[in-house]
Amino acid sequence: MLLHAEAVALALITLLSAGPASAALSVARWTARAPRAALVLWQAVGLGGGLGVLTAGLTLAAADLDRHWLPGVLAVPRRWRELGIGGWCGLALTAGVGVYLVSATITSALRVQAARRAHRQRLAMLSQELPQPGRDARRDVPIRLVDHPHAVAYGLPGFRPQVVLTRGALEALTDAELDAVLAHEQAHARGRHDLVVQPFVAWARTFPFLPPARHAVAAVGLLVEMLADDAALSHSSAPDLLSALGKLAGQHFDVTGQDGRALRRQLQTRVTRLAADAPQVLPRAHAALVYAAAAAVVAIPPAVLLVS
Amino acid sequence: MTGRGELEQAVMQVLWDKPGGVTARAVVDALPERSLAVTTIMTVLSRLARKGLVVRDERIRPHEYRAAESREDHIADLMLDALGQSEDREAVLTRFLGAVSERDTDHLRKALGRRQRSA
Repeated sequence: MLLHAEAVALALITLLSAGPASAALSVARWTARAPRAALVLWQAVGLGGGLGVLTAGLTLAAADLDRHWLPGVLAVPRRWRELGIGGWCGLALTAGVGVYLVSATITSALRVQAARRAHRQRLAMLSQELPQPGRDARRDVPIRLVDHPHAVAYGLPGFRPQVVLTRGALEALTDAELDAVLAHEQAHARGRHDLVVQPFVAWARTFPFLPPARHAVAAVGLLVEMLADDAALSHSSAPDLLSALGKLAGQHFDVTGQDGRALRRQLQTRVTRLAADAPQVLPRAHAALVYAAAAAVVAIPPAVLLVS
Repeated sequence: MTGRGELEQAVMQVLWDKPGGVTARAVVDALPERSLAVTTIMTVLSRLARKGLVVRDERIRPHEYRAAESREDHIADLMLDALGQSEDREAVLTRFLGAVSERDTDHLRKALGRRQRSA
C-alpha cells in the first residue's frame, strides 16, 4: 500500500515539475539576481521531473512483488510472471517514457551536431581568422570574420569553439563595445552554455504539445545570456555592453509574432539588469536555499524509495 | 595557403569569380600560388563536390567545375543560420542576441539579399 502511495507521489512530482514548478520558475523575478543558482534549479526540476515518472512506473511493478521498494525492484527480472496488471502498466510506463526520452535526447544532440558541422563548413569557406595579438591559444577562442555588412556576433560552440563577427559588427562597434561582445561570447564558449541549453531544447521538441517545455527553453536561454553578461562585466563596463546590445539589436529586423515578443522581452530584461545602478545580487543565504532546494528535488525521492 | 581549409576557400573563390564553369587546370592558373599540381586541385574539387559545394559537369572533357551556389547565396544562408533560422536554433549556436523564428525567414532573406546588393 505504501509503495502504491509512493508511485502516486512520484507521478505527482513529475506533474508538478512539468507544470506549476516550471511555470513559476519561468516568471520568477529573483532568477535575474542569481542566474547560476536558477540554472541549477532548472536542471534539478528537469531531472527530478524525469526521474519521477520513470521511478513511478518501477514502483508500481515493485509493489506487486514486495512490501519494500529495493527488493521489489530487484525481484522484477526473476519474478515478472507474478506481476499484476498494475505492475505491467508501471513497467510499460517506465520503459516507454525512458525509451522516448533517451531517443529524443540523442536525436536532438545528433541533429544539433550535424547543423553545427554544416555551419562550420560553410563558415570556413566564407570567413578569415581575425588576428588577435597576444592571444592565449589555450584560453581565448579564435575569432572569424565574415565579410557581410549586417552587424552580427555569435558563437559556434563545441570542442573547438569559434566566435564569429561580421564586417558590419566590426564597423558598428567601438573597441570597448567589441571587447564586451567578445567577452560575452567567450563566456558562452568556455562555460559550455550550449550543453546547459541542449537538454531543454531536446525536451521541448519531445513534448511540443507542452507549453512549459517551450517556456523552459526561453527561461534557460535568458539565464545563460545573463551569465555571459556577468562574465563580460568583469572585463568591460556596463555602458559599453549596453551600447553594444543596442547597436546589434538595432540591426535585427522587425521580428513579428510570438518569437518577436519573447525576444524583445528577453532583451528588455537584460537591459534593465545591466542598467541598474548597483548589480542586483541575491543574498548568499537565499542563493544557498535555492541550491538546497535543487539538491532536495533530485535527492529526496530516491532516498525515500531506498529506505521504504 | 597553409591548411586544407584555406586551399578549399581559395578554390571556391576562383569558382565564384567564374560562374560559367572552369577546368581544374584553369583553377590552378587562377590561384595566386601557381606551383600547385593539377591533381592536388582535382582532389580538392572532388572533396568540395562531395560536400555539395561544387558541381562537376562530366559531359565535357576535361570536366568543368562550378560552384553549386553563388557566394552571396552562401553568405545569406550563413547569416540566416546565425540569426536563428535553423531548426533547434536555440542549441546550435550561442548568440549575442536571441534567435528569430522561422516565420520570418522570407522577410529576413529579402532583407539580407537587399543589403547584400546595396553594399
